[in-house]
Amino acid sequence: MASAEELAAIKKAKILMVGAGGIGCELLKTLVLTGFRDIHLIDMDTIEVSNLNRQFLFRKHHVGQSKAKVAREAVLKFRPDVNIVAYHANVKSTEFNVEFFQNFHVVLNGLDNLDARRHVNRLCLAAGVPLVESGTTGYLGQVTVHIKGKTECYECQPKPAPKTYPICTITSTPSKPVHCVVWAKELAFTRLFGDKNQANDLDSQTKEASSASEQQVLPLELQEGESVASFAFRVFDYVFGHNIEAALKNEDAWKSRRKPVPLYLNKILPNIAEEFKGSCENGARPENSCSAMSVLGLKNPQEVWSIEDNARVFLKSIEILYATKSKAIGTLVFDKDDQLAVEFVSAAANIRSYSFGIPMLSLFDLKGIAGNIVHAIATTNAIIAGLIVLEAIKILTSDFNHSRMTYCLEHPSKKLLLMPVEPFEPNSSCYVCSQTPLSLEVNTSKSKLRDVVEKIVKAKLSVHSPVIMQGSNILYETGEDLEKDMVLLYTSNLDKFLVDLPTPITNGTVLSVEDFQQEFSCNLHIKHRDEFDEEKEPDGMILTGKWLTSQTPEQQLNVPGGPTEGNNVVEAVAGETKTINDELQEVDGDFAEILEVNTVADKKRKIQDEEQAQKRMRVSLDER
Amino acid sequence: MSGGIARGRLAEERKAWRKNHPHGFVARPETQPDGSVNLMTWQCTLPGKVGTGWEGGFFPLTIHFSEDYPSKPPKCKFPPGFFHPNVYPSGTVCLSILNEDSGWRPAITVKQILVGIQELLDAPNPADPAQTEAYQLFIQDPDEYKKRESGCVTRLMSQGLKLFVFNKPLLILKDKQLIMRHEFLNNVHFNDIGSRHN
Repeated sequence: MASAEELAAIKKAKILMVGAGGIGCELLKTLVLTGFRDIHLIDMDTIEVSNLNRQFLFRKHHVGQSKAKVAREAVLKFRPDVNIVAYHANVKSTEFNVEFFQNFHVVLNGLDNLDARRHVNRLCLAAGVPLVESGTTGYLGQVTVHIKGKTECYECQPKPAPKTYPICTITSTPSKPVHCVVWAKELAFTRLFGDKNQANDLDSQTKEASSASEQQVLPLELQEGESVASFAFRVFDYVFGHNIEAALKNEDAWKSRRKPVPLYLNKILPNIAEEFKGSCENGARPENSCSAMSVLGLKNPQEVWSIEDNARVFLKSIEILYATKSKAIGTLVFDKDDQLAVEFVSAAANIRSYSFGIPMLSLFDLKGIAGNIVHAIATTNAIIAGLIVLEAIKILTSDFNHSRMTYCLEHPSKKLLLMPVEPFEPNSSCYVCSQTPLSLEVNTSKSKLRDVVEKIVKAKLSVHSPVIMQGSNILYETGEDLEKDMVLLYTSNLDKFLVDLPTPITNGTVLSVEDFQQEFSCNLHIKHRDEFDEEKEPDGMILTGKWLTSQTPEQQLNVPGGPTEGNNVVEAVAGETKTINDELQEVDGDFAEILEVNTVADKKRKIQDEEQAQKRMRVSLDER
Repeated sequence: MSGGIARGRLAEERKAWRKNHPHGFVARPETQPDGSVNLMTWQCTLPGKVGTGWEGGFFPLTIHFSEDYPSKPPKCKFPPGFFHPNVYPSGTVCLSILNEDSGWRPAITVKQILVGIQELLDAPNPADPAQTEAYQLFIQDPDEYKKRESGCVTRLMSQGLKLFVFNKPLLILKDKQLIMRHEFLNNVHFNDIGSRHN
């Protein structure tokens, strides 16, 4: 039961919720039933049929309407006395600025993408408002608490990046279905229907000793007067037959690997030409031509089709793609919601798998891999929403010592499915939350880079050999080792006004200043100002904030960020990388309970397994 | 949002390289036509290893870093059509330390990458062929392969690649290549050569 203190805090709290999807619906319901009375809700999405299985505030007749507005109305029906303000808008739009965020006691995230999460994180830091962040993927979920200065921010730890595969594995030596899917999606689909210049390594095996001029017929181009069906036959034999055979000639490559089997159409489907005769003459009829599998009478996308059926789908999908999208050929991009594209990629991946002795999968599974789709589970969302509310209450009652990051696991660990962990300290080298508070007021159109370097960087910051960068662009370096053209370039930069530099310095720019010789680095926030008092401010610029003066590198290293002269700040040089990190993405599914995430599910699971092991260690330490 | 971990690491790599790098190598952030210098792409030159058929040549290589560096390896590319069994027709280098699934570790430095690729030039890995032409010659006709290896010098020249220069007398090359060298020198601006290797 909530204490009187907690109830009072709940009653007067003003909450901002970002996201009214899977987690958002559960969260809004839990908030109002807990007693929260003042909730602002932002969501830019509209309701889709595929949301209805778990976003229970929505009904079929709401499809197409604003999630935020419908969620508000649905909740007001059972709690008419609460105040809910709904915004059908993008949280990144300018109306939701720092001042807006400062209106709230706590911000609760139920978002589905990294970009918006980062944006909200930065606004919360700027506004000094605590953030409770959440995400789910299938059975897995997590809730984390981000309080400026007390706990790490959302960006203190690097996020796992989507898995990429080395080009050698994809083009030559696949060993898993996913390799074949990537090949089908990135090479085969793009080469045949997309931007040809992007995927030139698919032709690689052909541009061999036989010079290009001898080959009159380009193997992957539709010839004039050629029927699409016979082109498709040719493509099949070329990519699954000829290319594999060419690869087999590199005998060393197969000494320790299973050799692939070249596949030719006349072996798999000897009668294919006759089989397809009827359909290719009049082309595919537009009305039922959205799917090769339905034209072929294949009904179950969850069934693993035979190699023969996969070959048929491969050929038929090429034929229909040409018949229905002939104008877009050359510009198509793989889209998981494009049935034909999914059919082509699935069939191509399966045929390649078959050739390499890799198990074939169903279209449903392959679509999941190709489109990075993960299934969403309503129960996980409900559990996570409950945890968010618990963390919000601790924040509102200033009970920060009991704040926890909580992970929801798929399999029990020590008979528990929920794993609470004490929040980490802020990462002192985080480039988002630990920016050194140095700011420089300057007239950016009247001051030159030389003025900043001489009067500020050298004179005030005591940097001897400055390196000045803006993002990943270098504006200035000095040193004997630099090549002549670099020296010329940097010298010409010195004489440019700040706004005229190749990467202009304007109001709001953050410059990174480092010393090539000493261990020194800081960020300089630029604020533009038109007028300066010539007598009181002769430099024409003003540096504010605290900084280190004339210390040797050794001294600096001994007091990393410690208070020696007031609150001097030394930004630690990035180097340590903590490994724990599993920000899950809340995923948003289709009716078949499928969800899309930024990262490949496969990789995520692997990461999580590793990280769970680490977390277990951490927790057992906590328990001691 | 350009910056963050990749940017910080690349700034460190740049510092480390400026302080100390192996003789004959060049590696520097790319300068755009507008005068900006971007850390995410580096233009490099590898010297052919002394005592190998590659000695005397300087080979241009571009390293593309992503925002996910250093958790992901950078992509290293020679000019398209580079003659080597482990270089794709597009120029992309196939090497275990550049492969996320095998040899790549975030601690690998730009210096280690460049030295690794220099080693690869003379020691192709037949287990991971990336182009048919060089691979088959390497396996079936080593003599012809050796010829082509030094001949790839001339091919690069005909593409007008200015970074590709000789700073030594071409004693190890045969007559034909010497002729090509003269053609090359006649067609290329001397400034482009002088600025880096005089």
